[in-house]
Amino acid sequence: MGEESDEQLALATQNGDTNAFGFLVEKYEEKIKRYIKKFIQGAEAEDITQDIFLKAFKNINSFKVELKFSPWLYRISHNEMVNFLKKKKTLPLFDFDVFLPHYHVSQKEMENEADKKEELEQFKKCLDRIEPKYKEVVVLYYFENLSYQEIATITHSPVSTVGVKIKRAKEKLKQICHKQITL
Amino acid sequence: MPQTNNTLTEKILSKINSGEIKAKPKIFFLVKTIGFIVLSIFSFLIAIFTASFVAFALPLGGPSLLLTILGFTVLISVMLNIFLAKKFPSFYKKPLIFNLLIFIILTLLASLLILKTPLHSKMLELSKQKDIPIVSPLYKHGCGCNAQKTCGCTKANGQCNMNMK
Repeated sequence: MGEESDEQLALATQNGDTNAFGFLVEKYEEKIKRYIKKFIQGAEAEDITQDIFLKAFKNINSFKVELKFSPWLYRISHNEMVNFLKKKKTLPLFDFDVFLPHYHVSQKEMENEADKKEELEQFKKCLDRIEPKYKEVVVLYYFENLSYQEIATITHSPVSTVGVKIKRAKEKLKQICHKQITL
Repeated sequence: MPQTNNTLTEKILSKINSGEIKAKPKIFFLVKTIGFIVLSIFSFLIAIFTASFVAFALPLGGPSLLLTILGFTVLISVMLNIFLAKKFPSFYKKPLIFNLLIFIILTLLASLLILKTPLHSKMLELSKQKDIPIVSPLYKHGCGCNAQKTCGCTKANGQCNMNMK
């Protein structure tokens, strides 16, 4: 079982092998928990993590095995996180960033700007001070190491919007982190 | 077998094996997708019919509350279409404004095509001859037939054989 890919495990689950799903839960539990804990703290984070995997199982037959499993699971996680934050009224109902077209900021351009690892260390300190819509793309890109395409699939937004959000998030984080240092 | 000293995995497998949670069958998702597509097509048809009806009725009966409401119906139908279309990657990978413009342009073009046909004129005539539920009141009221003796008749269209009985 350990040699099989996530997609093969998902296919096995679709064919009735519940143990295969158990392996997927083991593999993704820490990643999903880490992602959720960036936005939700305490026992609620644990509950939501469990709900995500339960929802993933209920909807496993909607997963197309020719696609990657990870963005599909993160999409479910994103929906649960967004629904929770909307109930707490910490998220606006509409994201205007997906409404207008943006100049396409390529992933390569972003990685050329600065050392990703160094930025990650800086951002950790200030991440809670930015809006959830920017925090999410930073978390997915820097902490979960997903590509722009994958983040676009998870958040159901254009790739150009992902690039712009990451760029804006970095600018906000640099401002906030710089203020913290100078205070 | 996955390691069973993991609490979350244990909890989830326990719920699955006890039957507390079940995977939805593939047919559910197929029906759901078909439903979205059918609803989307239906919504688009409502939008183009309503838009073409408003364009047809406005010169005949003038502005009215009914036509204003129908105008908003067109907007709601377009928004519903965009909401439904966002489920599909080919739509959500584009900025929303592009989708909005595409739907508006398609609605306008299709409405213009319908206006070129005698559909609305024939429906109006039929509405006056027979009392068809929903259709007759819509056409008579929308085209100003309740207030006017001659209805659906303008110098521009020259179809002056549509007098009210």
